Amino acid sequence: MEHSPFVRRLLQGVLIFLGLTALFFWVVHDDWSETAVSLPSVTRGDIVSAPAGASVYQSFSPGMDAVTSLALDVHPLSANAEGTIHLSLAVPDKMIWEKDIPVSMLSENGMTAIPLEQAVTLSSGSSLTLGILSDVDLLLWHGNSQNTGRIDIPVENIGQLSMDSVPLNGNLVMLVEGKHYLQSARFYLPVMFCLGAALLALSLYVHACSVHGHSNLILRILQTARRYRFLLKTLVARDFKIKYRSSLLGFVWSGLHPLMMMGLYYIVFSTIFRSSVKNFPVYLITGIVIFNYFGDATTLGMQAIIGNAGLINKVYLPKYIYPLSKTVSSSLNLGISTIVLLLVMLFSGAPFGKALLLIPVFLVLLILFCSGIAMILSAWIVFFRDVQFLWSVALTALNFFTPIFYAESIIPHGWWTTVFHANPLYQFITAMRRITLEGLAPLPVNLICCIAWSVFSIGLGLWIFKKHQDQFVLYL
Amino acid sequence: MGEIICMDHVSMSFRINKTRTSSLKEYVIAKARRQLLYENFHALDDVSFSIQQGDVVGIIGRNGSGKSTTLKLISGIYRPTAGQVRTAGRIAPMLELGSGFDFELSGRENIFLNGAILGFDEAMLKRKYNEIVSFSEIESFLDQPIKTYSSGMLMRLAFSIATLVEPEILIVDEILAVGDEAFQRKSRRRIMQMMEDGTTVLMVSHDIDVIRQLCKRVIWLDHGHIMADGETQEVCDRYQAYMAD
Repeated sequence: MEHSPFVRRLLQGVLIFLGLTALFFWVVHDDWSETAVSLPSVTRGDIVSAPAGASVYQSFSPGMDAVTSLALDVHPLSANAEGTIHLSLAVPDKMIWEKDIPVSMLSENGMTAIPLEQAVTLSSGSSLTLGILSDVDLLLWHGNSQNTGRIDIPVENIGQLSMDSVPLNGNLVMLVEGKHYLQSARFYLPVMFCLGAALLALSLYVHACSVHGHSNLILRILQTARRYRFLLKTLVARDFKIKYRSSLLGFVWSGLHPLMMMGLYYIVFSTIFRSSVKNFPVYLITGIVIFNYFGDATTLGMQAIIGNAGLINKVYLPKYIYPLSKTVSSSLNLGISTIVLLLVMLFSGAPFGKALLLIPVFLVLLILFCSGIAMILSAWIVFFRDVQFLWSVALTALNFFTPIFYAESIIPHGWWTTVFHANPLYQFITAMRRITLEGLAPLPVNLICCIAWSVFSIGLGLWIFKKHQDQFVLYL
Repeated sequence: MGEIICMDHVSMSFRINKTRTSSLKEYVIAKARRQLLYENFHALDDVSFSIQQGDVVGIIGRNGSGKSTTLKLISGIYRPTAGQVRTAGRIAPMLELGSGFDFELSGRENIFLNGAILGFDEAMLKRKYNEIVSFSEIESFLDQPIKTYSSGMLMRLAFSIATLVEPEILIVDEILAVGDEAFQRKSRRRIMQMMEDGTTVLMVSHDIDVIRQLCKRVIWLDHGHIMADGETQEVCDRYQAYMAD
């Protein structure tokens, strides 16, 4: 009978784990099974007229698993022409879709959406050829550049455009939308099963150790955590009270600050730089909230040891608690700014869906990530005060190298993309933006990157901090 | 009556960096010129003693003899260079009263903050709250930020928190001169009360009369060595004779 509290707690743990697993599965399953992709159109460059009976072919590799919609910039030469256009999609050896549409359906100026009754499934990597055959004279737009707000960027040909076997310059102006089937949802349950089994084994092991009086790392961490929980709470409450003690609006600033920053960036970047990002306010504030937390938590955490020199010299406490209390107290701010983010989403008509339930997951990972960085910085700064100046420069550099106020699309391709993707904040911000802008669960690779960065940062932070902590008192 | 503090062949030496680099540039330059000179300073050299539960022990010695280092080692603030320090029980280190105070916060908030820093939990502090407030005699100022307190009020508050929460080991570094004469009498009574209740007390003082009055055993340190360790009156007599020379 002496095990019964443990058994009860274990059962509770198992139920909570199963509940969370199921909830998470429900949230991500659809978004992890398929994702929408689109092949962006080139901008109108030249116009070519195709006489009746001419056959126009545009080959391209769509890079998607199924085509769901098609839009063309094709118009009849004379306004009241009657007739039909034969459209087809073919893979190298066979025709996979064809359709006749009346010329009268074509819009007079602009794109005409061509409905596909059902998604046309492609085998992966295959190249497609769009064929246009008409019994009236047509005008077709083609081009070789893409317009991003102000400037035209030349694009490579996606394939060959030809009319009656004569090659034409550039690509046809057209929009191809489709979807990509993802395999990730299939791996979710096995991964969670292994994780659950590992957790179960670990808790049984820790329990066995505590029953037999063996000490182990996890048990010690749990005991310390229980003992100093109240101190952590008090330190966090202190930071929060002091921060807004003599300001008129108090903690309202936690929400007002990101809002005002968003307004500022919005005015600067939507008027002067004419950013063309969809739902720019939400795009901005998502980046601002995450980056501000990163900046606050790491800067405050960095000062935690030298700022508490008086205490460290006089009272013994586990020193981890100082940087930790700073990242936790900044996370109260993070919570308030997240509420403001949700409000901005509400007012700007962003999609509200079940993906929002994933926000806490990424915020917790972000807090862990920042705690690791804060521990490293707070240990180094004890020995070299230069760290604080270097870090403020590093923060400014990171601010520029993270797409916060500019569109992701202006990042140059190739080598630069790799550099941007290696930035942990890019991963966090991309994940959050997928939730806030598109209402979709972040891609698995994104989630894995965020988990990996948090684990790496907290591991490295603990290791460096532990290595140096006994020397702090000698240098303060 | 078990052993509650044990110093087992403890040495503590500080590596004093003579070139005193505190910026990266200075460090790199000094390292490149091979000018990083260190000097080892032995604050304690192979010191061993143990203290039983309920003992009241005074530590005496000249400035720089290693008294405060000993207290910091026992509180866990320093880690010994060699040897082992073992303690059992909850320590209230009063190395400097009120070191955990935040001057922007009110007296009420500071009671909880300082109590938490000394390692006490919320339930205990709530239970002891009224007693702490009335002992420190600051009732009417509780909601003022403590930066408005006089130094006497601060010391009274700090003393009340550290002693009223019933630690198992009380470490006292020159703090009996707290507040006015009435409060000094009150605080001395309070410490004597704790001694009777079985709290282990370790105190450092230059006031030999206080030591003679309160302690049962005295350890005399000089240059990091134990000169004498034994019955109070005898050690104090020898110390005073030595200092008179």
